[in-house]
Parts: sequence; C-alpha cells; structure tokens
Amino acid sequence: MTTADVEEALERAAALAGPARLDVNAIVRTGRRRRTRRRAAAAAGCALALAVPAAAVMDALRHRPDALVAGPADRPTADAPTLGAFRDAVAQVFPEMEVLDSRQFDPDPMLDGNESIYSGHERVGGLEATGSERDGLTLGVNWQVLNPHLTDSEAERVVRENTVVDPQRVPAPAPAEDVAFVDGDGLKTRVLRVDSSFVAVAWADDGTVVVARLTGEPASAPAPGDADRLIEFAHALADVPYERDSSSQDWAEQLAARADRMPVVADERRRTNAETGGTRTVACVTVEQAIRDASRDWTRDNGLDGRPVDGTAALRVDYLFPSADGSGRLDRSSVIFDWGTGHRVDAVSQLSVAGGPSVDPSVVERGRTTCPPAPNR
Amino acid sequence: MREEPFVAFARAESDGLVRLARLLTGSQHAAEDLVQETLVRVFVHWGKVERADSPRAYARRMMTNVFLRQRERARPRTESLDDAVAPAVEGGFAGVDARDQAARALVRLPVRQRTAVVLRHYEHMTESETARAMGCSAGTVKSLTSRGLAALRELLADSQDERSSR
Repeated sequence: MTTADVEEALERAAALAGPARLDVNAIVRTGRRRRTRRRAAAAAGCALALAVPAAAVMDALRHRPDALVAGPADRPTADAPTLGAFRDAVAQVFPEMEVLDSRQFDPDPMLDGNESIYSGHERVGGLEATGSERDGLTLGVNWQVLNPHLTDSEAERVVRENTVVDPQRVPAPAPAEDVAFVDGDGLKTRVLRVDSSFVAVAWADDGTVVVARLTGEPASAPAPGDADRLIEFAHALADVPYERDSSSQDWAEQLAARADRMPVVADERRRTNAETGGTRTVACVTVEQAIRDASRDWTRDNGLDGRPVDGTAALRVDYLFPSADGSGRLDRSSVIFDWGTGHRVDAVSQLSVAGGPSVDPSVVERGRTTCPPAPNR
Repeated sequence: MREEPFVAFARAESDGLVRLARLLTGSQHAAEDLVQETLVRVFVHWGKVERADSPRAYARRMMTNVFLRQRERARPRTESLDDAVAPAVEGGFAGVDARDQAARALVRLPVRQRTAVVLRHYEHMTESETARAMGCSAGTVKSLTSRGLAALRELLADSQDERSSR
C-alpha cells in the first residue's frame, strides 16, 4: 500500500464527517465571557506586578531607607512601559519619591543596571516585574527595581550621592494597604496588601470579578478553603462603592475598614504575624518570577509547560463570573500556578517545596522568608 | 474587537475543521466539541489569529494543541465509533464500508502517531509545521509518522483482506 493509498484512505475517513452543526453565535458569547475573564485575570496580574515591586521596596526601605533605583530589565521588550509609566506607578505608593534611571550610572543599555552598578546580584535585593503588551493590555512593568540594602563601597557611593527618600517620609504601614490601581478598558483593579499577602481584585464591566492572591512563601500557599475566603473577601470588597473621583486614600481606608471587619482576613493576618514574629517580609525575587510567568501564561495558549523558573511562591487566581444561565449568580473557578516549577497545578498539595538558588530552604521552613538575592540570569 | 471577521472565518472554516477533528477524535460528537472549543479560543485570540500568515493554519495548530492536551488530561479513554457512519451515503454501502474501515484503522493508532499521520498526510503540513503544531521536534514527527504509517498500512491491509474474504 503506497502513501497515496493511505492518503486516499484518510480522505475517505474524513468524508465520514457530517456538516458542522455549530452555533457560531454561542461560540461568540462563550468567547466574550472567556476573554473578559482572561483580561480581568491579566489586569489583576498587572496590578500585582505594579504593586509588589513597590511594596517590596517599601519593606526594604523600612530596613534601610536609602534609595530606589530603577533601570531597564536585562531583556527589555520593545513594547515595555516607559520609565515614566513606572514612575507613575511608584508614585502612587511613594508620592514624594524620585525614581532614578540606572542608566545614568552606566550608559550601556545592554548591561543590566544591577550588575553594572553593583557588580553582583548577591549584594542586591533586586526585583523586576516584566510584562508586555497583549491585546491592548499592559501586563506588567519592564523595569527593574533595585534596593541596595546590602552594600559595598560602590553601592554606598551611589546611595550617598543619590539618596532620594527621607526615611521620615516613608509612610507607616497600614493594616491593609491599597498599593496599586489599574483602570481602563472596561476593567477596574485594586491591589490590597494584607501583611505578606497581596490581593488583587479586578472588576470587569460585565460583572466578572477576579481575585488574585499572591503569597510570598510556601508556608502561606493557598490552603483548602482559601478560595471561599477570597471569594467572600472579593464580595465584601466589591460592595465598597467605587467612585472614580474619590481619592485613593479614601478608597483604601474603606477597604481597610472592610477588611478589618472580616474575621477570616483578620485571622490570617494574626497567623502571618505569629509566623513571622511580627516582621513583614517579602520574598521579592520569587514574587517577581512568579508574576512574570503567570502574566505570560495569561497571554499564551500553551501555558507554562516546559519553562521552569526558580521560586517558591504560588499564585491562585480565583475567578468569579456571571453564570451562563443568566440568573445573575456568580460561578467560580480557579487556577493555581506553582512558581517553584512554573507549572499550573490542580491542587495545592502538588505545589513544590521551597527550592532553587534564591531561597534558603531552612529559612522558609521556619515560616519566614527574607528578601533573597536576585537570581543570576 | 470587530466580531464580523471572526464570524465569517468560523462559518467558512467550520466544515474543514470538523473533518480534521473527525479524523483526530474518531467521533462526530467529539469532533464538534473539539471544533467548538477551538473556535472559542480562536475568538479569544482573534487579534493574533487574524495577524497570522495563515489564520486557517493557525486555527488548525490551535485545534491540534487542544486535542492533544485534552487527551493528555483524559487518558485513558475509550474511543467511540458508534457514530462512525456517514450521514450521506455516496458510493453505496461498499463506499461506506471502506470509509468506515479507514476511520476504524486510524482510531486504533496511538494518539500522537494518529495526529502526526493526519497532519502530514491529510492536512499536508510539512514536518516542521507538524512539529510546531504538536509541540515536539521535527525528528519526533518523522518517527511518529513513520511508525503511524506502517501501523496504518498494516491495519488497512488486514481490513481489505477481511473484506475480500467475505
């Protein structure tokens, strides 16, 4: 039997197919719902990508309030947000902070600012949130945030000559902080910080609500029942009236007040404080890797398979979306990303344990993660 | 997003996609489900699909990907050939029988071999196009296709022998 015979047989077999009985209008309706969910999830990720660097820097600044330096990532993309956009994002948290462009210290744009200034990642708590433009939505910031909280002589010189933050002006931590905001294209997103957790809530015009919670350490990876808590939390937050003209502080205060009245959140805060001895900590490199890859995943058909990353955190995105039956009820679904492996997992029990070069497992086992050095790229 | 171009694309391509899906899945119902899921994804990513060199090829790659992923999640799974008879009979019962034998032989191939054979010898994709659609190397495609063709030849020859001995 020749190849031509086989091909003829395939044609014959294909002829068994009847005409497509597809409702294209139903496909469009389903596609619209799914697209909204993806965009809302991406918006939540974007908000986290904006929020976490700023918040991590805020943490580090409390330990050593020296300077904030932003520079281009080592693999910048053509559609990356500008430094100006990054400044705007940081300004939401630190309105009086000046963001310096690391390229002023080293004009070679091909060099990673971190390496060129400090000659070694191990002395720098670094953080980078990377994203790109997809379907009209910016998924992150492609600027590197460096905090020289471990110093050598050159870092000290840079810090001395470029101190941009008065320690007295660093805002005191609030019980819950509204650390970032994204608004546009039919989506409103807020990020709330509760101790070492970050919660991003995105609302779409069609009623879809997405809650993404970012955890910085395996000890606080999503646990059974967390989805319900987050969803409850999201409902509570969603009840807070949002007015475009209201100040960020007003909104944050409402959220904080609302969060304080939520026993599950309060319990979690107490638990986190107990575990960390009251110290607010962020595993910033882990978070950065996680956001970048999770954001990419939302823009890809093929997920994260085959692209392992270092890290220890987990992200679960809980979706709430209008039920297809038109009842107005919200249905739920969730996705968990294991950032230790970069893969999507079906259950929390499948999350990998702390590992990789960026985090000392013994530190993580004690339920506490301090800012690790940035990974070598 | 303007939806009219997607709707036109879906209407124009759905029959061809169902035929391909029918070969991959071995069932009309599964084929329609697969095409529906594929078209939803095409809708979600329409901007990217529309900008592709060949939206038609892009959609087929997406469908292959969806199919392989669904199979990975769902295995082991039995194949249903309950509806493996054409709704319209062309060429009399002998024609139906021959088509049915080909479909039955195809569905007995392992999933990845079947996919490689169908993409290479029904869709006439190149090795590299098939590799891209299946998410593997061109060498793997070569190997899968070779083994799949050999198995398919054997199965078809057996069924021809059976028919001629009746």
